[in-house]
Amino acid sequence: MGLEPHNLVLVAGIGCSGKIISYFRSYGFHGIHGRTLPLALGIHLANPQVKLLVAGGDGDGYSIGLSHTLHAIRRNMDVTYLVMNNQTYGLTKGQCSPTSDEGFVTGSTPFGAIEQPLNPLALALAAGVTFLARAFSGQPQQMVELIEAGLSHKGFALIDIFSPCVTYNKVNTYDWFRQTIYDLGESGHDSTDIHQAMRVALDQTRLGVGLVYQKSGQRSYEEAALAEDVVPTRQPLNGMDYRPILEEFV
Amino acid sequence: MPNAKRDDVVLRIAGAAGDGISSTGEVFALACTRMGLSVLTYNNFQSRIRGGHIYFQVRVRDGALHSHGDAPDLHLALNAESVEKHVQSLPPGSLLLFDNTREEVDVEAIRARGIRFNDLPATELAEQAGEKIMRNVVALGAISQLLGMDPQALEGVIRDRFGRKGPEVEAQNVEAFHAGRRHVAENGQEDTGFQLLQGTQTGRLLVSGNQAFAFGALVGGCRFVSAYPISPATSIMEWLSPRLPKYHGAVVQAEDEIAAINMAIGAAYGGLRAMTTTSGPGLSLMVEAMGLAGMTETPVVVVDCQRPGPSTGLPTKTEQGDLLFLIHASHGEFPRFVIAPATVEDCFYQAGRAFNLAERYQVPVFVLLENALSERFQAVAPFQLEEVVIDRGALLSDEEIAALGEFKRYAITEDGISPRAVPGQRGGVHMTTGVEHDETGQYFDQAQNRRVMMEKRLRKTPLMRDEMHGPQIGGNPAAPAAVASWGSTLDVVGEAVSRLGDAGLSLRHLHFTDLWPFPTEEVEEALSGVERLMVVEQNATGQLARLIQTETGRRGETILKYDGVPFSSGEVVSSITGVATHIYSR
Repeated sequence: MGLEPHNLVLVAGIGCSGKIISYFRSYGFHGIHGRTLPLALGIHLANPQVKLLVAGGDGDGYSIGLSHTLHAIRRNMDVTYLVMNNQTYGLTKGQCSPTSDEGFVTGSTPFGAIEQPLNPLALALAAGVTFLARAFSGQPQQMVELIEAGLSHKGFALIDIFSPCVTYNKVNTYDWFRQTIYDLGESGHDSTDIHQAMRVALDQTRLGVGLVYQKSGQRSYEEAALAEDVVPTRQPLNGMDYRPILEEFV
Repeated sequence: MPNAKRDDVVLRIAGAAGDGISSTGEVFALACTRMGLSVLTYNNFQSRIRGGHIYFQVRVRDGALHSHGDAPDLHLALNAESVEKHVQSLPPGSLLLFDNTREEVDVEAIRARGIRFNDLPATELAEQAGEKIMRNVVALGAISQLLGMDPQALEGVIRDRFGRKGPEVEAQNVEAFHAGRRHVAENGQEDTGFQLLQGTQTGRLLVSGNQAFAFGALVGGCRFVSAYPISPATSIMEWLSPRLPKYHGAVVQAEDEIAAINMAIGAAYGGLRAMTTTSGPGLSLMVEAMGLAGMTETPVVVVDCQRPGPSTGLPTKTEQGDLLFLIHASHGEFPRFVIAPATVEDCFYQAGRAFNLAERYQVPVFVLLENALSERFQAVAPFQLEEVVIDRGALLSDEEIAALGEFKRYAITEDGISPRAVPGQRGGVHMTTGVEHDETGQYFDQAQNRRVMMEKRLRKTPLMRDEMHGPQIGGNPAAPAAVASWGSTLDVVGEAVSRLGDAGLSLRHLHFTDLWPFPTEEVEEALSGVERLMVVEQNATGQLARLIQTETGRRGETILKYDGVPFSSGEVVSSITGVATHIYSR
């Protein structure tokens, strides 16, 4: 994409997914669990011209950070959020996550998970997401194309990436995914139609992979909050005249 | 009743939330400020927007003013409940203004207490002038007549406030004001013994603690604020919200306090001077991220407008309960600053200082305000804008980065302070992380590196301590009996010490604003020769007393108030004389 390292910021969360940061040579902030999106917003309001890539897992994005994910979508923050969804908490040795299947047996759910799984795609659509895609790490080329499309999209791009945990998830494996997913592009899916997108999201039996929904042209948070072409961090702090404000107090 | 005209007046306005109490009080305060008088206010509000019982107190005089006063000289009661609740605290000779035509109170009983009851049919007069909503303006007219004030300043403020709503509204309110004045003049209550004349402190501003802090932050280079609304911190965010964008800054109302502090950390990482403002409950949510700022050495200012805790506590009252919490907050160990401005004026200057300290040392700076200071309006001398200097520490320019060759964000240095680069700067590419890391910011858990990195961060502490001022010393600096205080109680304790000094009890007053790193040497020097130490604070466990003891070994006797209402100087005086068993002459 022609991006220079100093113009890219990767914000990563906690978990195996957070380790992605060691593989990048760009600016990066490895923050605390679930709080990547607020960090990213602060960074982008300092310099809206750098590209913001945020990475996390299903714990970071859909459990502890779920509220921030929904608010980031609401804001249409101009970032691309990769959620490595493996339906487990790998780094802490395999507890269930909000996207684990009901009945999933783990160290913290020895009798099987008793909660229904969250539907991140449906939630994202309801929150007003302007770019929603689902990818599969077993299909890396498609995944890369979707990431590039997300980075090019102005506004919030959520890419939910099935990335099976070979160590702790023996149910949703690569083979299981290969049998469950289908290609959205090939199925004639219209990604500009939100109702179709919602049907894809609500389908629990077949998992559509590819671009689920995109709405172009919506104003991003950064555009609304900052004047055009201004990079706040490059503005000088000296030489301002604050005297007119003194008069407000008289 | 005094013969001489009194010019030190305490006005209290009481009623239900929604009765326009604070705006009425502010109009009066602003008029007195324009008249060159000293003004200091105190809000006693409840956590509600309608109903209940609240009051606003404003003290006015020509000359220095250190507290909002004790009992009111003039009490404006907007409902019967406000008469009943306050009649016990109204001294003989004080004035009570009440509309006896709408509700009725026992005027005989009130007069029997020596209180001068004034019946003001404010609603009726307001209706005659145009609208009954103007009853508070009628009351202001009555107040101005009772206090012997030239109406010009008050009329001016009324015109400014209501002029925005159109000439007809302005004219009606001015008429309502004069109707109130006329009623008092005609009902023969003119000579009350009060006279508020033009004062000598002209050119002053009427500012609240929060406004002063917000303005100081702006002038001090703050360009990012993220916050979640919470009493009593909200007005800092709201003051900056329309103004910061004019200077290419941003104010974000975050979805919660955890988001707020993380946004501020992100903005600081991005190169902005960033701040988040909150109170106790929000602070507790922010604790994890404080450690992130500490570990990543990201400069950030966190403002705590203290209120009584624990938990939800008393949202609209005051307390000094978070000192030790902020000194220790977050798991693990990292250096930080904790400062507590002492006056409204101090709020302005400490704001800029907080950002300088944060960036110079690349640590979080916690600023302790307090409800009684945040919400207090005071007439202050115009802020000296040119005194505010911006020092960004080791934030490198593009040229400086290029000259370095290799950039290491956490380079081991003699003073522990490493160079900073921000996204967008070529050559400064680095990762920053909450995990223990090496000089380049990469995750590294090896034992020796951990020791070296912990020492690097903590090595900043002696330099940070050098920045901290010891306590301000007032009263008699050589007296063997000392009173210590901190934060917003400077003026009220100072006034008490002064009153006691006049009565022959000589005291040394040590007032702390810089609390962490604790300026141990300066404190020990300030305490030399002190045989008896009393520590006055608005909390239940004596947090400053414990801090002094831990850091210097000196034990003090504590004088504590923790009912949500600030000390009056009278209370400090009687507490001290209850404690002291010797009188030390000057």
